[in-house]
Amino acid sequence: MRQALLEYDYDWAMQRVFDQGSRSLDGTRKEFERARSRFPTFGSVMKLFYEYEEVGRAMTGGSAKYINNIVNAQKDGRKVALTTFCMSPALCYAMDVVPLLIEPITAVGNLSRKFGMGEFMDYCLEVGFAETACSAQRGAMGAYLAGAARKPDFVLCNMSGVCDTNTSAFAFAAEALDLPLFQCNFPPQMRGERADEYHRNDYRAMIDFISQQTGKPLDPAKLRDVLVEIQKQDELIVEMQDYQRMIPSPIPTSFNLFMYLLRFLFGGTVDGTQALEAMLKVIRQNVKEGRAGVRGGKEKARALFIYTDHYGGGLPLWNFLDSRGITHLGCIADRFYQQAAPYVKEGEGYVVDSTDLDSMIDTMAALNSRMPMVKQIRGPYDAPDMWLEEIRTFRELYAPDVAVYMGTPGCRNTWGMVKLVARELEKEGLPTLIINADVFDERVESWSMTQARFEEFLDLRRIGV
Amino acid sequence: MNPIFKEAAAHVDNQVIRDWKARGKKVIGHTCSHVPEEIITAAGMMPYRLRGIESETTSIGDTYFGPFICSCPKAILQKAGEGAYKFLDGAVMVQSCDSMRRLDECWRAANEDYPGILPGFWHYLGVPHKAVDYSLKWFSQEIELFKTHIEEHFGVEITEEKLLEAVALYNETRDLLKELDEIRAMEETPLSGQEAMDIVLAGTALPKQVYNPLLKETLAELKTRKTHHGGKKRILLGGSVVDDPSLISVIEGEGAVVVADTVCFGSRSFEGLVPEDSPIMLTIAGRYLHHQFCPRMFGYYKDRMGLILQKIKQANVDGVILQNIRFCDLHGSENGLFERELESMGIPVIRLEREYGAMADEGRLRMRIGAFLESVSVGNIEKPAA
Repeated sequence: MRQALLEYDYDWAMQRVFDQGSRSLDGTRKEFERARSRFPTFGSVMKLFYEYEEVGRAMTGGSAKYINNIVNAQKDGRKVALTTFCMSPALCYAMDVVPLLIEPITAVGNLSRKFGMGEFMDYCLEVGFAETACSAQRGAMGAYLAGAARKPDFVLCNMSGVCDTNTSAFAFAAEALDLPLFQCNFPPQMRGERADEYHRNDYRAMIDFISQQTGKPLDPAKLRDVLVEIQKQDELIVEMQDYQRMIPSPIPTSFNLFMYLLRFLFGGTVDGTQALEAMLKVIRQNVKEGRAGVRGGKEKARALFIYTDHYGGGLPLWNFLDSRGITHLGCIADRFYQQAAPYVKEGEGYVVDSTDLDSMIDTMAALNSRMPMVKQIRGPYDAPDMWLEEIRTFRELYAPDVAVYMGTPGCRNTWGMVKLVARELEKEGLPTLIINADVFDERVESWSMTQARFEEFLDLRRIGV
Repeated sequence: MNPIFKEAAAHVDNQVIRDWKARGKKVIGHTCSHVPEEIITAAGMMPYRLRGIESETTSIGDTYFGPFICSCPKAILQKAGEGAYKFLDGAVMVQSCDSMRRLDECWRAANEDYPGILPGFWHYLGVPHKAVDYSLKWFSQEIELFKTHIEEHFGVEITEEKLLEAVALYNETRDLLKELDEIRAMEETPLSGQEAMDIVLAGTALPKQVYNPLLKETLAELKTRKTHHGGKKRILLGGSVVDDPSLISVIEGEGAVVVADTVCFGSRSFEGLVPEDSPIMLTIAGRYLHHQFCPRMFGYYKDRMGLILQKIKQANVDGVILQNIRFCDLHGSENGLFERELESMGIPVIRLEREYGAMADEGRLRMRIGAFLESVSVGNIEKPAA
């Protein structure tokens, strides 16, 4: 690794970027535009974030606070848990632990660094991690393994039984950094008495583990506060996802990303709720005016992303969709399975129950076992509650014109079944595009090549043309 | 060596299976060392560990699996698609790893295009990735469901008596194979690693009732064997699935002898016995769940490192070859940790990534292994405390 990369701590650098970014609208719009033009990569991200000022402020402010907490945890006397976006951070907030979600931290680096996270990804290989493993973890993990960021205190993995590459990244990091590890493990079935019992036992074991690491028991009052915010956020998300069914959709293209980003980073916090409220304000206005959410105001097509979005430098996916008048109907990352969500069948989702400590923990266990990817890709793709069923439900409710799969070559799990999913969807008349890019590492396929393939598919199938 | 072992190790089908089937008996295939074969045996059937050996292409596998997938399940699907597994009456799928777990769906999808390749009995066994009280409970229930499914599908009864008999039979196999391991580890080892692997592999493709007596004869023969492989560089082979002898033949072709292994299908598969007491389901579940020698069991790195060190000491190993099939993230990442730790102890080690099957990249591997062996000195490493 180049010495230059170690000159400034990665986490500190990210904290500076987001802290400054969150304050860049404090001056005039002219000053903001002038400053934006000086940032070749982050400038286009700032544009996307600040297209709706209040939303942008809430998102960047919340993100800055989130990264600030990580950087200052030691000073504040708090422990840092290295964990994954697939785990709800709400428990960490309730237990006064700072959640360090490795995948969003990789994405954050991609968005703001001129050369992305490639060198940190490669550093993981230098210290022995598998080169074929998922780049989502490899990026930020490289910085932590290289000592270019403050070492966390323990590891919480939430994908055992769901994703090997994710889990082995956390197991590797725990050994390499000599940190205590807890893995939440999921059976192949999502529902049923046995699965519920397993989830609850496992979740309680995780609470015990965190208590051992922090020396503090779970505080029921704090957990209740977190659940109150979760409940508020759930209602806002459900409303947003209900509006998404409208044709044209009134949801601005970037809001889906914002919604899951905030749920991952500051789910269960007041910051998260405020950001969602700001988004809903824009959406309700669009509904009132009968306006489509896409930038041009005219919806030409609707795309359902059946796996992830693309997190390349400058977040090009959303600008591309806007430029073609394509509504983003969501990806796997924004489905949390609140029972009230429009796509959730009876008994499939979780309901917040804050009657007592046990019911609150059970709620968290149910929520955690329904996190994106944890829920859909743990069992056979065509089994009840799993991937194919979810996509079909979305197709029925949200009327997409195209389904798009993109992820990382490290995703063994979905690459093992995506051809089958595509075959089924095509048979049922839904054009389905499989993109071979790595959404965290543009060295695998540049965005311009991905875009060319995307456009070719849309043109060939006459979608939004 | 007994030609039955040779045939069973080298081919998907073998004469013993043909005779077994000719007597109207059933064969159940499976994909993982966490499948409790005792249940199948207690049902009067033969468990068979699926392999993709003898594949010359993965064209069928590539049709259903995506590109970034281990070539092992692709090769198994290839054999299934070609009709090589038509002798199976059933198959058990396990979420062993992310590539292998998708064999379930891909095989079922391939059956739409190649009708008749899917066995009549199809079972998905949910094996937890950790060994704690609630996962043990889950797994013993899974085994109970598996037993019930077999009973209902085939109209047989699996009694506790039959289960205890099967447990005793399998424990005997494990004891005998441990004996084989001890013979392999001898200073003047009387058999090559390739022969040892043939013997072990044969056990995955023969009924244990047939295998055990043959194994006893072989062990007796080995104990009196005059030839030996003393003086060669002694290698431990670790990592992911090795289910044909070609990789070992390359290593031994370069002048070494593989005296120990921790590979899937190899020695790690017979570590640990099932306690022969009641409640039988719980004891069977306990043995298979506490069998943490595959990195699919997350968080047990130190146990696996301990096993490697124990074998290095036991077999007086001079160097370690760690290999994984491309896209095996589990072994791929753990091999990196092993490499670092072993090197810090002064133990020569090399990591190899390869494709599954009959040495698709033999030249490259031969060159790397040869270069590694040149750097290994005989009897030079201080043996670690296991």
